[in-house]
Amino acid sequence: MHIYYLCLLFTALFSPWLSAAENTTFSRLDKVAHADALRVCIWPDYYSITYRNPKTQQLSGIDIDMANALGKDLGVAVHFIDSSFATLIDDITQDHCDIAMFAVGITLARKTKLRFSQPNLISGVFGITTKSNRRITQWSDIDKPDSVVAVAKGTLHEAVMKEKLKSAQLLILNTPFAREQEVQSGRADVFMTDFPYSQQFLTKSDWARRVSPPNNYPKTPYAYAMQPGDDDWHNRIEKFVRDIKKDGRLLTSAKRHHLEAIIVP
Amino acid sequence: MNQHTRQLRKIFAFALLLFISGMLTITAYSLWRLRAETVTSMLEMSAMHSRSFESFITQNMRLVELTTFNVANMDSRNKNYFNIERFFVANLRNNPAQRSISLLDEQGRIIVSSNRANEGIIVNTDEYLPVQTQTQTKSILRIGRPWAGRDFISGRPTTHQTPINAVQSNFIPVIHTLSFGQRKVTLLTAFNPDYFINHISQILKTEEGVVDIVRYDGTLLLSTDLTELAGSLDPYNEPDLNLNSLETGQFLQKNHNGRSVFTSFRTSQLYPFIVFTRIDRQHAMQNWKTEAKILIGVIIATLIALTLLVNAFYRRQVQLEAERIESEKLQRINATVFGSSADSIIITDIYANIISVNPAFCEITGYTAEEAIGQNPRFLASGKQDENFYKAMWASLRSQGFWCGEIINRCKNGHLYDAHTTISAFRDTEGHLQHFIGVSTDITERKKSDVRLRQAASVFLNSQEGIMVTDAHNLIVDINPAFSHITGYDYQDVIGKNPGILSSGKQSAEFYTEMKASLEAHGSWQGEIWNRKKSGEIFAERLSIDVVSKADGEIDQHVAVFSDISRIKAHETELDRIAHYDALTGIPNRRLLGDRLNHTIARAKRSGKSLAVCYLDLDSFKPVNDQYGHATGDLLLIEVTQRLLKILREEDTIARLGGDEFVILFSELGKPEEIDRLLDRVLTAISMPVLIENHSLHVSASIGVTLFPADTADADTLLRHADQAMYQAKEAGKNRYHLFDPGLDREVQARRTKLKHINVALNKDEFVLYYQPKVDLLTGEVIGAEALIRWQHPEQGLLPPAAFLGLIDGHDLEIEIGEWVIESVLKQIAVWNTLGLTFPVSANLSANHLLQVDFADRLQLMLERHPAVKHEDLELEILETSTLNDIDQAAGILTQCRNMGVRFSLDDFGTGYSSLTYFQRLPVDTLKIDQSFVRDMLEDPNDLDIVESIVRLTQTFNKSVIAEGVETLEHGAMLIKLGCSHAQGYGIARPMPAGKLPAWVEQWRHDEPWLTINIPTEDSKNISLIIAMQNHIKWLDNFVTLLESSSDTPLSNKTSHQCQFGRWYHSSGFARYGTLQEFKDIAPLHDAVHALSDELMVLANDGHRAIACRRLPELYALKDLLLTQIQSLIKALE
Repeated sequence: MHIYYLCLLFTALFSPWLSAAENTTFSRLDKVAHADALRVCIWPDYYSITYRNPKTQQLSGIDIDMANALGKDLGVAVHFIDSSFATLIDDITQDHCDIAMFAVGITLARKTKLRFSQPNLISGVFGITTKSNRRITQWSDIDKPDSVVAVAKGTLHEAVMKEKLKSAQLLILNTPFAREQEVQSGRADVFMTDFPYSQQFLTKSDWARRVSPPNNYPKTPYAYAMQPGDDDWHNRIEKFVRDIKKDGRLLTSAKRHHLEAIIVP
Repeated sequence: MNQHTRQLRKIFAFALLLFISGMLTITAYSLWRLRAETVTSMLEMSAMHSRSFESFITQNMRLVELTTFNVANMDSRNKNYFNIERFFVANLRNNPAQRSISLLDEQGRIIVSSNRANEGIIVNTDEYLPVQTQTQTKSILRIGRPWAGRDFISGRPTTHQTPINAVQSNFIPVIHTLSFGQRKVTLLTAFNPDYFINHISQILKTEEGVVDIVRYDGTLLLSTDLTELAGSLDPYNEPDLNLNSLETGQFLQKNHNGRSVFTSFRTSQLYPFIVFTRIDRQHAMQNWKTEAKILIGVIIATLIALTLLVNAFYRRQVQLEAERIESEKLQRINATVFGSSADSIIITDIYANIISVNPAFCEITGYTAEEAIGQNPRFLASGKQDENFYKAMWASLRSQGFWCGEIINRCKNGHLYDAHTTISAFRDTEGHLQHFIGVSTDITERKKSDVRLRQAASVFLNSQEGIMVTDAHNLIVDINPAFSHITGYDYQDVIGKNPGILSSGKQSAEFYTEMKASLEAHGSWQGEIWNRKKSGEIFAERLSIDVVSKADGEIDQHVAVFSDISRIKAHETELDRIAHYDALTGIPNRRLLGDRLNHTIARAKRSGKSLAVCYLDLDSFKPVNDQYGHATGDLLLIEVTQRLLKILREEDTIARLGGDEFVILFSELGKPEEIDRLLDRVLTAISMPVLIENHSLHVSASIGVTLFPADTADADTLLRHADQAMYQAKEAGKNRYHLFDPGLDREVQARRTKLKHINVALNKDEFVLYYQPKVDLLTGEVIGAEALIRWQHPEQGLLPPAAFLGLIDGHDLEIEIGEWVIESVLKQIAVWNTLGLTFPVSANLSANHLLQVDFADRLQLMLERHPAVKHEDLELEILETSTLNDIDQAAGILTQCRNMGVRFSLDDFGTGYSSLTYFQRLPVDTLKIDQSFVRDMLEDPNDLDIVESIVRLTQTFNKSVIAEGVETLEHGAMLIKLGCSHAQGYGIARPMPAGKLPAWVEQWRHDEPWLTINIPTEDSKNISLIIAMQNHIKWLDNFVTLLESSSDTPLSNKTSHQCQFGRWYHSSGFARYGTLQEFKDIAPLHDAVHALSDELMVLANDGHRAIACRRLPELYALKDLLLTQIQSLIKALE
């Protein structure tokens, strides 16, 4: 037990140096094996993907399962590192974690900074409004002059909404659960999220109502993000993704979290 | 539908109605209760919601007060607007009920706001409630009218007239002022109505009910009803709420859509708003309605199901009832079948013990049901079937549950009968064996019938008589072999054809019509018919046709049975000829004569003309036969016949009766005289000599004739009359005819009538017996009495035997009367014996009576009937003149009777032809000398000789003798002299009734008349000679007297042989003295006397009586010579 904490301490203190020092020589695969731990970045507000229940502090979600699976495949412990889409690129590039496993949408901007595995999920955009909202009953009601649309900072929705919205006011929020509060209090009409989040959110919030986009609305594939380079690591992760798709672990977990509709086979 | 079913239906209908009514009542009550409860609970729920929502909203508003306090504190410490703003933002983060918080300055301008855009805006709060008053309260929260828009920056306040539009975002401004002395902190909070609406909607769905939050002035702050617009005046407008005194309440009202709602209201504990919760009645009652529907549905379904069930049950009951009735009916039918079946039925249990039998069983077997029940059916076994038979039967029963066959059983009385029996194993619905049922039909009769049928078939096949069966259309359907044999037609020749193919054409159409009529009337026809064989030969057949009818009386078949009688016919013809014609002469015989006579009589009756029946008998025919033989006799008869045929007319008939007897019928006689001519021709024709075989034969005929209708009689009688007349013709001298005298015949009829009367008299006891005593003239003893029959005729008085005994001679009555006499005599002997009179009594017995084969036995019986009578006292007198045809038989009977002790005497002895024969052959005890001899013996020397001879005869043969007809004591004296002392006659006593006899005996003994008899002293030897002489003298005296008398009466005289003396001289006198010369010399003298007397008589008759008288001296001289000669004979004898 002591040795374990010492190792942790060591890792925390020397890993940036180590990583920098051995960046060219060692694959992250080796580093993970050497550290005997896998650091996984997650967004703990992400329902169904990587959600930490505030009442129990337990993590749950499909990528928690997959992270653990990966740790198991690699034969190492898994350490979850809190992250968010606003801090994702930094957290990866600055080596706060070996991999981001919280349904990271593959966007053009991110691909310039990050290396993605093959996607394992794919989701469109969904709006959440209150049940009592009389103005927004369908997707087309959203982009109106009086409307206020809330998005979380750094998410792919921010970029999407910036691109799509013409008339409505976009409200970019960067505090946890700010989107929900704005919508609930009536200061915003709708906030944008994806399938996994909306699904879980609707089950928890009796006031919320989902507004679905038309079928031809663009969808975004989700994958695991890593530092660019390091083909060994990437290959190993790719292998892992193939494995979980092939051996059904992905599907099993997806079913548990009601996500089987959006997995990428 | 019967009574029972109607009653059942009533009961079911009533019960069902009652049940349904009860169920419906309970259901209705339950629903009513449920509804009431629902209403109550809805009102309660409404109130609960009101309280809950009021509390929720009030608490949220209270947060404004807390924020104000915090701001006031912050403000007091450090008037840092940035911090206040951050405070506001932080405050809003977990409070979605508030959209924005702003700090107002004294002028009502927003100086700090969570939404910076609001800053600088002046908000008019004059109309906020409660209204701001002069008396400032330290803390006051006032509620404004709703604003349209997201926040103050982008919104506008509403009025009752300009509420928010339907889709607009809106908020409720609430201002809270904290006063600290002069300083005031005022926060303006924009309340997010959507938060409340969402909260309330979570609890109370819009369709269930709506919640209105209304400011005290009636302004609608918010409503979960999306159709209601915030800022407008509360559309319910409940002005009667006394809000100062009434904080809560409940009522039912109509909403603006006209729907009923359960409304409850509650005022906020702190702030001027009211929460109205309006539960939609229709929706609220939906559950109740649904439940009611379900319940009613269930109940109705249940009731329908129940009704159906009951109906089904009722129908089942009706069906069961019907089935029960049907079953009972069936059972009754079964019982009737069981009871009335002609077949014997046995039902046994599974162990084959009889449990039931039907009446037919008892009738057939003779066993009663009580005797049969409990028995095994083998008690009927006859023993005719062996063990294997029963084994096979049981094997069949076990394997197939069934056996059928014929069996011989035994009745109770031991008789066997054939039964066709079916035994079935009876199983219940589950297949378990329950009973055996045996049904037997007594087929004894059927079997017999089969035998009869076989016999009939055999008869049909083997009969020697032809049999032909035709159908209703008279077409031949069957024949038997004999048919083919007789007619020559075989089966194929005649089948389907009309029997007319056999027709010979000899019968007329009428014949067949008559046959058909008989068949229709009587169903049968018998007769003889000529038919034609296949060969064409015609033959006679005896045909019998019978109609076989169906049950409905229609003709089914004809059965014709026939036999070939051609030979019989020929034979019959021959027989007929033999029967009706005389074989010898070929003329009709007696039988055909009878027919012809009857026809002729009938014809005579019709024509009114006479008919003569002539009975012809040849005279002297027997000598021809005797002399020349029968062949010659026959030829003679043929010749006579031929002659007669020649002279007869066509309408006459001649018949030969046999022998030499013929009958000729002359019919159609116009006058009776015609018969004389005809008969003369007949006599002439017959009397002509006949030349046969060189013999010239000569016969004549005697003919008796009777004429019809003068002699009105039938055919037989006419013949008899003619026969009688023929005899008279014979008697009259033959070769003549005699006409029958009907008067004479009437006498014969009279005799017959008398016989009838005698018979009646016998039956009426009109005959009586008179008794004539017999005595011994020497001793005076009464030695007996003879019973003499008399007829006490009711009209003619007492009749002597001569009046009737002659009539019954040879008649059965002779026997009956004879027995009656013997019986009466025996009775009388018994009577007299009791009176002390003990002498034999005799009865007369006819020869016919004696010769009855059972005479001795019957006499024995009669004697046994009178045991008191000594047999020796009965004496039977047989009339000597009776013709005893069979003397040997008579002797036998007499011997038998004498062995019994009965005595016999020969009566009237001396009068018959065979007296001596009888006397010699018959074992009699006594001879009775006929009274004619006794009566005349004193005058007639012949009689005297006879009496003497008889007496001597009896003395010789040691028999008793008695003389009848003793009329005087002189007779008695003569008899005693002749040696016969026993006598009977008027001289002693006349016959007298039995009752008088004892008195007579008494008298006889008392008077002793026999003592006066003087016995003659002359030598008894020559008494007859003396008497003869005296007779001759007497005769001569008479002759002289007659001659001398002057009468003109012609004289007749006897010849010398015929006079008494002459007869004596030539008979008994010659017998006695014929050898003496003196006797021989008397005869010429006697003849001379007679010759002279004859001469004189002729003279006298010729009218010369005087001359005759003159010659009398000649006669006297001859008389003296004769007397002298007789005296010389007497002297010679002495």
